[in-house]
Amino acid sequence: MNSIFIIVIVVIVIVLAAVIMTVEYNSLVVLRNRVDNQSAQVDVQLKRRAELIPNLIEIVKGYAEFEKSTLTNIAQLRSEVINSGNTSEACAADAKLGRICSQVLAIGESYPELKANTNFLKLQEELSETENKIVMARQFYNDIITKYNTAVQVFPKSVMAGIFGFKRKELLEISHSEREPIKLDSNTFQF
Amino acid sequence: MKVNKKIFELSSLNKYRQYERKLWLIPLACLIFIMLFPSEKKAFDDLIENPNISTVIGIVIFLFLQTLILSIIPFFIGKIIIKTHIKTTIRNCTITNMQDFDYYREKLTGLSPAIISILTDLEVEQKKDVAASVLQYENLGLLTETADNTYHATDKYYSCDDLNESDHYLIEHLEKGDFDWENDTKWKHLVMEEAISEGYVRKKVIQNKSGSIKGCLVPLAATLVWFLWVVSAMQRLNEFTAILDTAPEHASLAEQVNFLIQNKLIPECIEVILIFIYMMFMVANVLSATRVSAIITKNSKPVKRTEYGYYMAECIYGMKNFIHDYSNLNEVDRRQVVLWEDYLVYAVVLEENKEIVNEISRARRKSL
Repeated sequence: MNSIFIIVIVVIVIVLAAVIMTVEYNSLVVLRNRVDNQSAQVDVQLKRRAELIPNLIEIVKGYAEFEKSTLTNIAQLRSEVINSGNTSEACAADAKLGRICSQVLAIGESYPELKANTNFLKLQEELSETENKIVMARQFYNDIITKYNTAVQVFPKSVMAGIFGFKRKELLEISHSEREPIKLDSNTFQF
Repeated sequence: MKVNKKIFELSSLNKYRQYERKLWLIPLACLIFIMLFPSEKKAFDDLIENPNISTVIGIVIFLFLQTLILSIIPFFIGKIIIKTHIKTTIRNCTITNMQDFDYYREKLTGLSPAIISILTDLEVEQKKDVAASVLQYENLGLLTETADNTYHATDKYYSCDDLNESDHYLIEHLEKGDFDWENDTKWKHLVMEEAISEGYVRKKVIQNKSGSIKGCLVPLAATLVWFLWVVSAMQRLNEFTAILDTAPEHASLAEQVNFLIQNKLIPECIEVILIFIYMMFMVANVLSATRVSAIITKNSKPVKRTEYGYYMAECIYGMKNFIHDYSNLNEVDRRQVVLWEDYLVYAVVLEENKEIVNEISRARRKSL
């Protein structure tokens, strides 16, 4: 009788442990999927802005000529954003591209003909809207990463994370180079 | 502190709520099934032989326990399945569209916090909605709070033409300092009228609840009459069964009818049939009990959502799920509205962040 009782207790404990492990594992999977989802959202916004850049160049080109090096730089940064498989690298490239973009827009505003161009105005508004979406997407990405990292480190989920290979992820942070202003040469644009 | 359980109605959830109400037919079906069992016949035979109150109570308790044991598992399995479907439906309001990160934000642009509250709860919850409105005005640069916890409208407010009457009322009274933070009926009325005029909700026809409840008492009265009839007929029914016991066992129908006529048992026979038919109609008691409970517990709000209102309510719930799942806005303080903009306003009005509501209330108390 005692042995049967012990066996029953052991079976119950094993079943409970299996249920708890399953619940904790599933919650980690859900969090990881949300991180991936939000990462993709950031990428979508970055690519959306990168795709607007050629339109901006074409409109401004009608009023000014770009230096070859500037165009090359823009093309390269744009390619890094679109083809990057890593959200952090895409954000870094986008940050540089964004500053060039802002400089182009600022210079464009100095010219009345360009400023009155409806396409330019519409593009300006789209870029501003996309910029805001990128900022929000990054903030939400960092929030969900924080939630995921917290879950991976607290007990008992940390045990499951260790067993099943859930690792901490990096937040999207602004690097020192991104904080520096981009200086455009006076010969960048020739009007 | 009592917390009211909120029941959020989506049009797609109505069928699951109907299934949930029909689950109560399971115990009823089990009860009928049990009463048809041969073993129960013995209990009723005992009741007929010893018609006293303790036997009745015993049988009622016995039937109740049997019904409970038989119906509890299928009832709860049904409840779990339906609740799972309801939760899945509500959860699926969360954004899944990869192309439109701001999908719900764009849908909700232009909705004031009070209208969002009306769409979700069908009423204005002043403390929370005013806090969210104040946050929104600060975000838009229409209102500022000074060091002494008073409010001042900015120049932008005076040059803004897009505000509703309720916004003007709230800002002006906040600036004057005479806004009734506990219960400002004028502001609530303005907001409700705006929600109706914009087509999100419409006024309900007021039901005559007392008439419905009185009507539901009729089957209960009928049951009481049946019970009294059975008690008064018990003596006659005992004599009836005593004579029936003397009838030949394997008689044909014609012989049985002949036996009844010869022993002048036809009136008692008819009486038994009538009692039985009357008893069948008492299933109406279940319907009346359901109706009474529905009247008492049903949403007694003065408005109901329109089709457009239901659609917007789904978008609002999608936003709530998004904020809950993807952000830590529940921990953010008021000053970070410059970072989170209207997302923080939605977090406050959708009760994801209660600390900001308390913070604004505390600031208001300090200024008094």
